[in-house]
Amino acid sequence: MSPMRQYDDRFLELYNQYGTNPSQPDQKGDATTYTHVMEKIGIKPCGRRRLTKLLLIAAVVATAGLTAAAAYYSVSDAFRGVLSAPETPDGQASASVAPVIEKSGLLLDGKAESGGIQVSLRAAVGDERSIKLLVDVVDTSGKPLALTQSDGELSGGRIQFANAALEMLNHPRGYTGHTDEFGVFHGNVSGGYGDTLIDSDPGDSRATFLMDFSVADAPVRGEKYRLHISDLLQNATMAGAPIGMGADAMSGLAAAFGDHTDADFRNNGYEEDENGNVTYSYELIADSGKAIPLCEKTPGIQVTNAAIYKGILHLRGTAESAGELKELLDQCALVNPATGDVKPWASSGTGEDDGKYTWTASFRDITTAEELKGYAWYTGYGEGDYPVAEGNWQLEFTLDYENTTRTAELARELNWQGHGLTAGKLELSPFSAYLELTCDAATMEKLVPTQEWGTYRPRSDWEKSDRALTITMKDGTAVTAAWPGGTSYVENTTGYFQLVYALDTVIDPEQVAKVTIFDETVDFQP
Amino acid sequence: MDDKQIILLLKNRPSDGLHEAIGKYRAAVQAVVSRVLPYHPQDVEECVADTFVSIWRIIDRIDADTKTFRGLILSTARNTAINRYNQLGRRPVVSLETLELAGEDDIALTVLSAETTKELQDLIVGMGQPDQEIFFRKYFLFESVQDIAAHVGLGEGGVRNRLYRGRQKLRRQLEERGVSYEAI
Repeated sequence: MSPMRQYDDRFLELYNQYGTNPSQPDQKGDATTYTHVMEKIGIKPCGRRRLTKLLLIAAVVATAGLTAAAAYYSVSDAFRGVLSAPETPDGQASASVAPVIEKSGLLLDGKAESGGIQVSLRAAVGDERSIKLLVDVVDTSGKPLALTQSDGELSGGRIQFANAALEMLNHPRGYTGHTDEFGVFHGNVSGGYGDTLIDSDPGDSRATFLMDFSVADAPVRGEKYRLHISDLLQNATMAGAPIGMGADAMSGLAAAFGDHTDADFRNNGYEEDENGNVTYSYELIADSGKAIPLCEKTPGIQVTNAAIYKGILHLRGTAESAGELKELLDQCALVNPATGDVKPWASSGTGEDDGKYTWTASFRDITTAEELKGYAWYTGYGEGDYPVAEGNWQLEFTLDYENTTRTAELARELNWQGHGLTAGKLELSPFSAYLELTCDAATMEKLVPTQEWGTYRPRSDWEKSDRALTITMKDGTAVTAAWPGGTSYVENTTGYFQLVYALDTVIDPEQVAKVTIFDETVDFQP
Repeated sequence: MDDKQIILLLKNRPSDGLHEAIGKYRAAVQAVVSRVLPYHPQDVEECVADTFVSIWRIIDRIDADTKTFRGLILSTARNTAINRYNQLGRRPVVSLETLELAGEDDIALTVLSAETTKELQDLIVGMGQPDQEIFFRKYFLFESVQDIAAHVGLGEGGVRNRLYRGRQKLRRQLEERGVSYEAI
């Protein structure tokens, strides 16, 4: 039995109280035990310096104590290999940023376990506007965190959390914001969230993530937070499995409703990708008055509307439970198992209307019902995010670190593609930069045109540009940050931009010499 | 180095963490183990090493802010030594409740069941002084009556007397709680 289970803390306190250390140190004995333990667990002893010392101790009972060279675990140790200094122009590593990381962060030790997965917080660093959390994930059974080949035709994508949110405790809520699926209100903690997988060994039961959060309109330091995380997913391509319908069911189903050349569709709006490409989506609203079970296993899942229109099969139906819906639409595709051909998924959606569950799904590359002969509805098919471990984890922590941000008023006129802007406040932290720009309202309208409610507006040149900011250190090291987040607004006749840049490397704000914005270089003088 | 630092090192840089833990606690671990296995120096060294290996194996479940890391190490040492003693098979296992028969200088060598352990913990934590210290030193740190007497400032006879009465009291209390002392 583990001693952790056998004794409670009150009793262990008695060991603390009465189990005194013998006063005579035995360095040779310590060295022998250390070597013995290292052999037993099969890991390398400490670095050469200490190992050399150990050997010396073992051989000649050296006078130096084993604990003389204490190996403290610090914030910069935690982030070693994760956060790094920029390189100098000649490709050399810049001066160590360990001291500034030490000032800007703290070690944490929160733990939460759910579904056999333990999530723990190792450390945090941050500035006045953002937080970076180092999060360790361990499968307590020791099995690999990532999916394995036996789970299907695995492409081996990265693992990531399905959702993460940071809740600021003990702080008044703002006016705006939204409540996410955790019930976390995002009035104060907003902006971006991202995670980076640090350790992705798929044969390992452990992984480490760097999670980034930006915080708006609230102080960061000194606040208490609760981190909410759910479900670990892996992006993978899977072979899937049929849901239990006959081989000709799909062609029969489509034929029962007929091919539509004039079906009634409602414009459901559009989505724009990062290149400005717009994709419109439609919803089938033709009412056929029929209801046909989709498969025998789950008769509650029925198709009530179907149409083939412009190369897409549109289906609408009902289900008896939310669970059925999830099962039906989870990575679905129409697959011909005999030929391996696939009619790919195009879109899907779910709804609940007066206690009834509804669903829609559409599949591409179909022009007639006859083409669907031999196809079956598969789920768990294709590329997507598949669950590695399902669970919910909550971890509370308080941030307490120094403010290492330095602020300067630039008061410099800038020119961006012929538009006049004034650079105002610039804040530089080890991890981010915050820049305020102002312009007149007419310039703002050109850079960020007003968008009428409900209409589509392509992104402006300003919005498409990287708006790069280069920070040059005293040793010549330069760090360029681009694609800022932030906001813009007009007040009276002045336009305001608040741009927030994330830095790829850590800088020491004390060592910043100048900054370059839109080809204009300005001395940084806080 | 404080315990929090040692725990963090064990979690993140095990070789450094073990180095520090051994430097700080090996002597205390050896003292506990040696009292269980006084005539077996090779087994003592093996148990001392096994104690730190055990701590390394469970380190993910230990909070860095725990105040009882030292207690955890010493209790692990105790159990490791008792297990080794029993494996050696050189003497029959002696329980706390048979001490009167086996002789009062003998030691408790049973790894207790979870239920009995909890009851016994409650009773020992609730003992007044100097009985708590005497019992703890005797049955969990395996110190000799002579050493205990020196620690608590009583004569050896006084310590033996308190141990005798204390055992009787413990047995009564365990019976009142519905725990069979034969199970100990």
